[in-house]
Amino acid sequence: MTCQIDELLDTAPCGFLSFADDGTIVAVNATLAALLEYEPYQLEGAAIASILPIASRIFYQTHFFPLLKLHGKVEEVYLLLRSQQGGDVPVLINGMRQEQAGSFVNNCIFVPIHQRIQYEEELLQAKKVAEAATQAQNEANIALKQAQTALELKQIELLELNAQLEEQVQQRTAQLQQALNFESLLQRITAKVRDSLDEQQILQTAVQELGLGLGVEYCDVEIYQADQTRVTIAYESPRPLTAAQGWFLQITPTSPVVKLAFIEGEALQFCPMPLNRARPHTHQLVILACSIYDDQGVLGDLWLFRQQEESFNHLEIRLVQQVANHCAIALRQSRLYREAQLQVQELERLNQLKDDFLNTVSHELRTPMSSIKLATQMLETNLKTLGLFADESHAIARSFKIIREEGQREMGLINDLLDMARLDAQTEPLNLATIDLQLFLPYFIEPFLERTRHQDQRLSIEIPDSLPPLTTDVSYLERILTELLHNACKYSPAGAAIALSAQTTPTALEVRVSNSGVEIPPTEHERIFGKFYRIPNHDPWKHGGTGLGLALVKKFVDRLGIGIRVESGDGETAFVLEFAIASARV
Amino acid sequence: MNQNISSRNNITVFGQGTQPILFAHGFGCDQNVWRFITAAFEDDYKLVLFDYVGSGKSDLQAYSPERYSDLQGYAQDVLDVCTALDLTDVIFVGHSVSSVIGLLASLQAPQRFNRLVLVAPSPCYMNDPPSYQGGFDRRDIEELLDLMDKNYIGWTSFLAPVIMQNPEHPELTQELETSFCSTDPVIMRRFAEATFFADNRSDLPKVTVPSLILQCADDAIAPTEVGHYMHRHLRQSSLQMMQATGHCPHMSHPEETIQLIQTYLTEAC
Repeated sequence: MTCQIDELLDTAPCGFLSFADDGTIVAVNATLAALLEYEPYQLEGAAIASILPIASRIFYQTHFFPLLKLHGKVEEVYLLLRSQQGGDVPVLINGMRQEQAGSFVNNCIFVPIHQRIQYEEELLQAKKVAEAATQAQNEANIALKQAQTALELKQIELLELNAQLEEQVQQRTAQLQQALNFESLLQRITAKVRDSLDEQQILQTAVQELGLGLGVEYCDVEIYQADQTRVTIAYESPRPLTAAQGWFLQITPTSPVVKLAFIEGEALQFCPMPLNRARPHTHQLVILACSIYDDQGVLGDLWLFRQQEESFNHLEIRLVQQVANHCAIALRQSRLYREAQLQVQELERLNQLKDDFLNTVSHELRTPMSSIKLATQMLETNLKTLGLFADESHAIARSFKIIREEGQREMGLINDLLDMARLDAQTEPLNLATIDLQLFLPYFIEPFLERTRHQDQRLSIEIPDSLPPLTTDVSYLERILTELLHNACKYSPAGAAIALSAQTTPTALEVRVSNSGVEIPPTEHERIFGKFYRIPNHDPWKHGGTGLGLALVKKFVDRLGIGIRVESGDGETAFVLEFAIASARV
Repeated sequence: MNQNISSRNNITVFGQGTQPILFAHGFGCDQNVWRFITAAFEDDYKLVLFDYVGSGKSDLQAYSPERYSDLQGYAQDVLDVCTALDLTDVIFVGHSVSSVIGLLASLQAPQRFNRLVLVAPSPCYMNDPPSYQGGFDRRDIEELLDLMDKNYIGWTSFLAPVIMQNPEHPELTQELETSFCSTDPVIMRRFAEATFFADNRSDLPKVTVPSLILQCADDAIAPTEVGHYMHRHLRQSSLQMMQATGHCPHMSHPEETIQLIQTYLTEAC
């Protein structure tokens, strides 16, 4: 029976193979040997690897043998066998470990599955295709999902970007609006402080407008005293309960005060400070301090206080700095104006003093002289009646003559001095009138005709027919010409020629007084217009004089704004008045 | 112990010694393959066994296709186990692809390892003509993958649990179901690709930990010439040519395997 079973096994319609753990084939039936194109004896003792292609060898080592060894059996393991001719033989294997003669063998049956493996391959292929399709679908879905997610992210990004941009635009608009507001605030403050010359008003405006415009808790301004050792809180806004205005802070080493004098042009932002003596209500507020300064130094500081949570942005700081600058200019202007006002007052006072002096001189000098003159005239009449003047050589007559002449001289001197003082003060306005010289000069010269004839001098007048009308102060012109003609008569010898003439040049209308027989050296030309100056040895008629005549002429000329020059040579001296054509045409 | 790593890699620790031996299984198996070996070392060492993520009873949820796309991911498993147990002075015993995984782990943390025992190792399974014969062409590996695919058709239809009459180890009747057939075929396929397409030849000269190479006779997966290649390029390596044939000497010839490892460890002391 056993033998029958063995024979049956040998010819069974499935392969049988038994192998040891080391892979040695122990037994193989004829069916399997035939399937692999071997004789059974060729396989017995051979390594099982010899009937396995490479992939099957790996699978045998990594799966088949470990399973069989660990679990004692394998079922339905698919393997590809290799025939002697190299053909592939797909088989399903069931195997079982069994002890045999003290050692273990692995008995396996092999079922060839040529047809089934084809189905399986097709199935596998179909599965792969389906898997590939599913995979593709999944990937497509994932890609779609990713694209959707990306799109959504992009949309969110865009929305965020848009929101950011809008916020930026809003911020920028707010900044611009704030800048515009500050600009108009600055303009308003500038206009107000520029128009004002009142220091208090300037500071009040700046502090009030800044306090309201920046919406601060509290704002004030400190003004430094001239010696820089004290600050005064000059103005505050809005007025707090405990007013600090007028509070003096003495700056001493033991009682320091934050003083910005050393940080010109900087604005400082402070954290809240410990209790501020001058401003107890500003405890725990953020502070912005900015110095009011110009090139001449620091005038004071602007102080702004705000709640701790807020601070001052750069626009606000710049605004405060600009306001401080304008305040500095306005304060400086205000102080200059105040000084100018004081100077004007002082000048007015001095002018009054001068007028008083002139009045005094006029009263105290002229009044006695007028009395003397009057008394002299009365005395002359009385003495004449007594016949005391019959003999001019009489001592009384000589003394009286001296009294009269010196009195007249003194009167002339006083008058000249008063004229000079009045001209120096320039208090009298010009009394302008337009005249024709053709008419004026002949009329004016008449009194001098008698005098020159008496001194045996020849006085001539030379005026062209066409002269432009002349606008000037006639009384001043008369004084000038009188003095010049008087001098000509006075200093010319007998027989000399004296001439008054007028002419136009391209730039001026000239009036000329000349006399012959006398020369003034060029070195004296400038000096003759000085006060009390007299050309030495130059008084042939012994007229004497005050020495103020030409000085007065020069004053009148200057007052009229015209020119005068001296020409002297060839035995002739001339004084030429130059009226600029422009003024001549007026 | 780090509970996450412990359950993730299904770590098993036993033995009476203090110096750890860390056993790392190869492709297609799990830590059970060491059962014929471990008893010989229990008295003198602390034995640590584990399953790579994706194999055996590891936590499949922890599997990441990116991390385990190459052998570095598996080397990180070894280092994770060492870190979780705070292992030092480790004797690493790796089979087949685990030999290379152990080498890679030792490059990253050489201070943890005392010795490396490389059972049937290969640094590169593919042929790289003309100078290197790994044993396989790409077509062979693709056929292997095909073979695996076809078998997993069978596994997945293999519904009924098998109650095995196993006189050797009756307690392991559930093993097939739990360790092999339930393994995810996709993960196994990726492990096969990571294993057989790997080329770690350039890493060999960098290894500083001393090693023992156990080279089987007639090994279809790691030919003798590859064993010599390993020996030439690994510093401080010993090469032992085994009587054992095939690729799994720890299962087919456990006594010889035990004896060679014990001799090596004794001599090393």
